[in-house]
Formats: sequence, C-alpha cells, structure tokens
Amino acid sequence: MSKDESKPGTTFMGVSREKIPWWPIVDLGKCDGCNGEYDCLKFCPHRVYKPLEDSSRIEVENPYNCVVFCTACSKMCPRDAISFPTKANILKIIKEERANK
Amino acid sequence: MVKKYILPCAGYDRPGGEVSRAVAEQLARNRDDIVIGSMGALYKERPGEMRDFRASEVICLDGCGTHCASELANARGRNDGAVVSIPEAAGSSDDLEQKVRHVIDAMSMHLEKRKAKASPSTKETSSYPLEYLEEKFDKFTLRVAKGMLYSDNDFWVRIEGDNVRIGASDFLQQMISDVYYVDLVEPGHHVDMFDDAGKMESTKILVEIIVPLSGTIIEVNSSLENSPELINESPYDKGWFYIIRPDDIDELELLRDASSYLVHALAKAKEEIGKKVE
Repeated sequence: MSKDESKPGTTFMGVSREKIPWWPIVDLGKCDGCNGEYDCLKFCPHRVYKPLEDSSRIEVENPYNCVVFCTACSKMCPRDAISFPTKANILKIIKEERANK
Repeated sequence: MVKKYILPCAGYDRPGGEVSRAVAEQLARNRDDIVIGSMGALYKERPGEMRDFRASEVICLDGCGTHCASELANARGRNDGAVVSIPEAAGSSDDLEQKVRHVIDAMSMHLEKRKAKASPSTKETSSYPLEYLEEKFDKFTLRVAKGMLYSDNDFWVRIEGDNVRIGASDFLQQMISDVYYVDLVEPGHHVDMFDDAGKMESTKILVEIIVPLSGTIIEVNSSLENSPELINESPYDKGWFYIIRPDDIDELELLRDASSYLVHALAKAKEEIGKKVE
C-alpha cells in the first residue's frame, strides 16, 4: 500500500475519495431547515452540511467529508428531504476503479 | 461524562414554571454537564432532543400537580428519571432567588449521583483465542484482532465455517465512546454489501451498522439489548452483532486484512484527534 492510500478522507477501499460520488442530495422543495434547528447539520460530525445563507434551508458544503455508505443523517431528517445514491452503483464504481489500478 | 437532562415545567407564566426555568438556567451557567430539555421538542420527538434525552440522566421539574414534565418523560420511555416537585421543594418564600436555591438543594442528590461505569476491560475473557496487532497513538491504544477482515467503515468480519460473524472494530468503539442503545434487525433479514442493518447510539453519536458483505442474518447478539456496553468492553468477542450466511464469500476480497486495517485506522485516529485540536 502506498502512503497516500492510507490517508482517510482521501481514499476509501483503496480508491480516491474524489472518484466516489457519495454524498447527500437535499430536496430543497421539502427542506425547511427544521425551523432553524438544522437537525442534519447538528447530527453530522463530519462538517458535510452548511445552512444556505439566504433561506432557512441546508446545502452540502463538503461532499467528500461524507462517510461512504453512511446514510444516518437521512433518517434524522423530519421532512425526508435527504437521499443518497444507490449503494450498488457506488460499489460498482469502486470495483471498476480498483480494477483499473 | 453522562449529562443531566433537566426538563423544566413549560408553564412559563405560572410560578412553578418560572422557578423551574430559573433553576435550569442557573444550573446550566454553573455546571458543564447540564442539558436543558424542551417540553415542545420532546413532545414532537425532535431527533436532537431525543438523543440528549436518551443519553442523559433525566431530572424532571414538575411545576404543579399536573406533573406535565414527568408525565411526558414517562411517555417518551424514561421512567427512571428523578422527579422534583417545585411547590414542595421551593418552600413558601416569595423571593425567586431563595426558591431557586431551595430547589437546587433538593436536587443535589440527583445532581451528584454518578452512574456506575464499567471500567474498561484490559483483559478480555474471550470465547475465542484473540491475538492483536497494537499501536499506540497519543493516549489511544489501537487494537486490531488478527485473523479477521475489516471494512473501511470499521466493522470486522470473522469467518466461522460456512458463516461469518460481524462486529465493530476497537477503533470504532473508541471513537464513538460509550454505547447506551443498540437496535438490531431480526434474524432472516437479508442485506446487500454495505447496507445498514440496525444502529447503535453512544453518548456522542448515532452510528449505522454497515454490514460489510451480502447475506442473510441468521443469528443476532440479543445480549446487546440489555448490555450494549459489551461493544465497548469486548468489541471483538462479546460485542458482536450478527452471524450471517454469506451470498458470495468472494466479496470478502474487497476488505482489508488486520495489518492493512491497522494502518488505515491509525491514520483515521490521527485525523480525528487533529480535528479536536483545531
């Protein structure tokens, strides 16, 4: 294993984190910012989210901080406004990237 | 540190509510282990509120005879909380400060009570012969059990005949700290690789159990229901989650061996500690 591969945040399963499109997708039609409470922002310890400046809604600020395959924030959302990519598709991308090495 | 969740009476315009709010605010100013609960948020079961509520020792301040605070705490599943009656504890004084002092005196035994905490086991009495790779970093000692496979989500897999057993790594249990609640799925449940199957809640965080391979769950560690601390005390043995009948054992090739995982976990630990120092 090279030195770079051992850095968390930069790789996941030996694949560069930037090549893995895994982060939450916020439905701004549903998100109401929990009336300023921002449950997802408070819940996630990885600084993935930040509140939108001009409204009481949330956006993804650091997508690559998101832990691949973790969907816990979506379950905390009272408006069911957070979704994630399909895990099988992400796993396929990871396998392809590993095979290309 | 186990926090004290103080649930003050919500009758703000009534004497009991005013005193209970002043008590909670004074305690929060003077101590670092106080969380002031919200009747509204608890009623609506807001996730953040429920997390604090479940993870803390609960002290209800009932402002009058309707006992709204303690009734709501009971309704939300905590009948083990302390209850202080403001009319009884505050006395007959007209002075708010004096009333607050009396109530805090009456709460002292609940405030100083410390939950008996299991000391971290240094010698696991293991049902399996376990050998570890160990690495010290800062105050941490990371232990990675040999002979197992590990996912980058920090779960281990041990092959046991045709089946596998899975659990959380020592690194994961140290990062999330004291687990107080585990929610596991039922036997018979099928999972695809990296699906979540249940969750565990600690005093710091809620973590999904991300299953590191596809298969059918055939056995569940039911002892975790009453003893979730086993995840912290015996992560590689008594704190296991599931026994799974794998769909395709070749999937395990995607996981790390112990030495590779130790490097990975150590780097993660350094980053986590770096975040706290920032």
